[in-house]
Amino acid sequence: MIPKIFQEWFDTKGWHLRQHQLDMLRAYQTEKDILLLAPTGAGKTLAGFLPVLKDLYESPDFKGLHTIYISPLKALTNDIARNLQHPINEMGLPIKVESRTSDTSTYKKARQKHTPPHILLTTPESLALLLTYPEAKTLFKSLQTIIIDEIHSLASNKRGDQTTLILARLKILAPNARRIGLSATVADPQKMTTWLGYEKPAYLIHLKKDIKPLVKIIYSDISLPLTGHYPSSDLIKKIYETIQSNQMSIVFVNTRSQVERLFKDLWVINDSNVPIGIHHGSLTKDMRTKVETAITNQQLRAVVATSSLDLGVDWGNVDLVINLGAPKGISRLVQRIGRSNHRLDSPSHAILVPTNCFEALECQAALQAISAGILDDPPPNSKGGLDVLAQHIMSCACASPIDVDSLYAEVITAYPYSKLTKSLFQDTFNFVVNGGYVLEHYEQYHRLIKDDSGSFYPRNAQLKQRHRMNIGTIVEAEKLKVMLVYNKAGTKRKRGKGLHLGDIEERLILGMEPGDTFLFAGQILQYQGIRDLKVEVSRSNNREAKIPVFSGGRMPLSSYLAASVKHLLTTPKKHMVFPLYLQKWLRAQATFSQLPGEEELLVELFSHKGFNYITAYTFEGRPTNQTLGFLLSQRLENEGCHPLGFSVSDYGLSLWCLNSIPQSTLKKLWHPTFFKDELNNWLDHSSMLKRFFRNTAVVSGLTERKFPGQSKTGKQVTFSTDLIYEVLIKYDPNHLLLRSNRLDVERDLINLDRLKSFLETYQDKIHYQTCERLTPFSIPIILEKTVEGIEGAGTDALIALKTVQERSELLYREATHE
Amino acid sequence: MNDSLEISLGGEKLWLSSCRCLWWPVRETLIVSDLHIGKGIDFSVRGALLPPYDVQDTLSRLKRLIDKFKAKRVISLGDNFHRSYSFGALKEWEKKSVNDLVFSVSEWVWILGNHDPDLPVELGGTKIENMSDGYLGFYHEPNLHNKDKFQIVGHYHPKYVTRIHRQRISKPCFAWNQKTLIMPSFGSYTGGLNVAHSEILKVLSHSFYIATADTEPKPILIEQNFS
Repeated sequence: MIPKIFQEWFDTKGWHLRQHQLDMLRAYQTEKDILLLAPTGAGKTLAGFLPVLKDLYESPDFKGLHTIYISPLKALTNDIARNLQHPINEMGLPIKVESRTSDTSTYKKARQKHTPPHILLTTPESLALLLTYPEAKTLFKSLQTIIIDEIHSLASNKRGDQTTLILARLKILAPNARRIGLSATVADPQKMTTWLGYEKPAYLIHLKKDIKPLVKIIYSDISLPLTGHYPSSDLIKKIYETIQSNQMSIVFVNTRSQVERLFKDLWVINDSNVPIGIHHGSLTKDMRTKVETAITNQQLRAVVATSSLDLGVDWGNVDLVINLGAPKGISRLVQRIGRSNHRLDSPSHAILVPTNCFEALECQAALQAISAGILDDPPPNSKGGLDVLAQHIMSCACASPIDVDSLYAEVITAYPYSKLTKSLFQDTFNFVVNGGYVLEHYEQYHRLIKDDSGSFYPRNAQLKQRHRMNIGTIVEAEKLKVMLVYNKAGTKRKRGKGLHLGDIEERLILGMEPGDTFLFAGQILQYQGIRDLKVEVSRSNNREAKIPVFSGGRMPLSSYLAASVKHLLTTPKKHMVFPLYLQKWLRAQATFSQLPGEEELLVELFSHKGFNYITAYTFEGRPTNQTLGFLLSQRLENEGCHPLGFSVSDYGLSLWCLNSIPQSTLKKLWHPTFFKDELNNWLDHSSMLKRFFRNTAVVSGLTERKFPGQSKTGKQVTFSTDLIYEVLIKYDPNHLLLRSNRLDVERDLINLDRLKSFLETYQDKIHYQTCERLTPFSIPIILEKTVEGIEGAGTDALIALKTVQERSELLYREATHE
Repeated sequence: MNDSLEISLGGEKLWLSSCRCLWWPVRETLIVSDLHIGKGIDFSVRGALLPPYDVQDTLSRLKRLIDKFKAKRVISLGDNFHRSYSFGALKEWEKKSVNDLVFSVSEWVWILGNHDPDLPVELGGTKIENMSDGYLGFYHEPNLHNKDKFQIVGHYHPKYVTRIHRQRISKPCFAWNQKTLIMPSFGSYTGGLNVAHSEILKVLSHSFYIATADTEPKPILIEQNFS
């Protein structure tokens, strides 16, 4: 089955090939596209590469690029490169492996175009960029295999859309190349095979792990707070003790700032000097590689990390996964847990550590779901992003002139675009050419122009360059390098040479003054200023950072988990499993208000700080709650209640109004019939859609990605997308980008059908609870950071209110009596 | 809802309007600033094909205001066009719209700005660097040497940014003290500068009033400490 030399090498390692790896070898001979579905630790990567290495070994005269490996994470490509080099070196195979990401040097990248390796490891963005060059045609001619790893993390989002378009293009350039997909176990394998396969579903090799993970929950001894996502010192101590009693643990945390903080707090109590490492996306490549190598070499006993370590090469020696905070999704949690213990015949171990009351509910619900073997990952996306398509069209044009009809035929072979109509494709194409406006304009500035044969190509070289700089579906916040430029003595290092500690989002250091301290890369740094687009810092002796630096990272709660939490709440006998203080909290809610009932929607009404609050516990997840928030705001506005804003959590939403809400209004709020246009009209003017639009504008190529420091030149390079949005809504409401935007929002945020069925179900089952003040359950929702402001009569009234309260009116009256 | 706020500057009664313009009733004059007509074109050269509706949007809003106030004279306080060549780069029907509007009133004054120090002959109206009428001086940028004069200026695109009850509110606004009034920007594609910015503080010093310009204007006292 496998070459003798391979078998001998396995024997020296004491490895035995597993069934699914053998199945893969067999399938490679007989099938075209293949999907391998297996839990973490099953040796998926080896399974994917084995047939490739075998093929290359058996064809020593093979020239050119044989296999591309696509992974969603840069870190992963490094790992794989390392791991492939081992057997290749030890067996002395004449196979060249190289990686190509944004971390690859320009020299190497140029060399790869002309002298490609046999195996190229890359990311979707880097591959998209490679396809914009005319050399791509010759480069990919010899291609035999395309391996796509961690498919489950791509298929339901825009990066996946982009990947399928890349695959469609590669099909044209290399018709014989087949696709091998590697994925963790998902809820719907069939859909995944359709997503991957060309013209027919891929052949499925499905390895199921029957042994469920062993999951425990650690509660703090002292009361869990109502809000906040950071563990108390009591919990930190418990985490530390857990780390001490295990060989190697990964502590997963939700945000980068939490990683920094926890890492520091653990070291403060690290009396036994346990080697604990840190890992997240803002660290420099070197630092990340150091940590990754240390893990592989078993030099670390624990790593505090974000989801940057979610995907990755299997580290056989991790024996415990500690998940801090709310799990948010069961599939995701199970995949994370799979990082520990890579023997398929024994269970993985995990500990969940909730940091507030609602998280405790969520962890408990997750526990039950895991033992029931439920998976809740989203299905592959079936409506591909139009902004991604626009970017792709331009990419193709950069490499060689494009013909509209053939490009359309090519694009619809990609799963998310299989139902794309010719007319929508034409609209997207027109957008790329001339902006797609109803009003004819910019004739001399068209981005693509026609040649004699009727094909389109970019008008000039600058446009190609601009496009290449812009590429990528993840619109990352503008990041600045953080450089340690001051010595311990407080003097500046020579010639401004500093130690690159990592990259930080520009908005996070806006407003910092020299002398302010903040936590980064595991240390407390002192901000000194920005020079040459770099944030200059020195080390601080302070024990606490002055400026809290929070960054994003909000995972959506899966609807399954949300429903499970509700069910848990409405079954009092299940509450016994909680520590006493949690039971007390639940009883407090029952006393001051009520626990949500299974078949009803609990809506609380109370006054707070002079505003009238209406709080509904829907358990529908943040996106639906957000949509409901807009719908309710619109209705409250129509009724003259002057809604000012609302905040949402995964469990519910809370709106506050200037005026009180009469009974008659309450009745009207939950009507399930809303005209789609009505809601769209409101949504269109919402800050939410504008936020999404910013992303769409850059991905599609309408505006340029803002690079830090461009404002230095004084010339305005980027354009506020809000202004563009306002004008488009007014004059061209059906513009392609607005359509694309609404599609995105519907896909990622709002499911109008779901909202409708929710309202239909609960319309007559609302339980109103009038309370004297805030209730225990409402506090986390009200204190949510993100607040949606309503631009209505209320805001004006609010400003008026503020000015009345200030001295200014008085002073003004005095001043004008001249 | 009252959509104008009446203030007094240099002894003259002026109305700050919620439509980003200033109305001087006694002289039947409408004052706007920073139209930046043609801004979109500049970006499209580089490949950012912005929606080409800003010209008609700016002009239609302006026309509505001229009609509403029955203005006899219009003063546009500079940066009327994004570049000196912008008028020439407009489409023929756009140029016609501009001139039609200019000639629809008895007098149209274009104050020259830093973006458009030169305006072409084919554009109608009077083009000058600054002008006075009674005690009021009209400039694009404030004349800092002559702080005793009453001035109405543009250039800064002032914006009122604040947090009220956990919401961030950002609105174009008028900003004024005893001697100087800074106009909000009128152009559809113009952004704004926070009034707390040092550039504006240099002009108005650290204690001045603002009133929002896209909703009911009410005076709000701003007191900033120099950092």
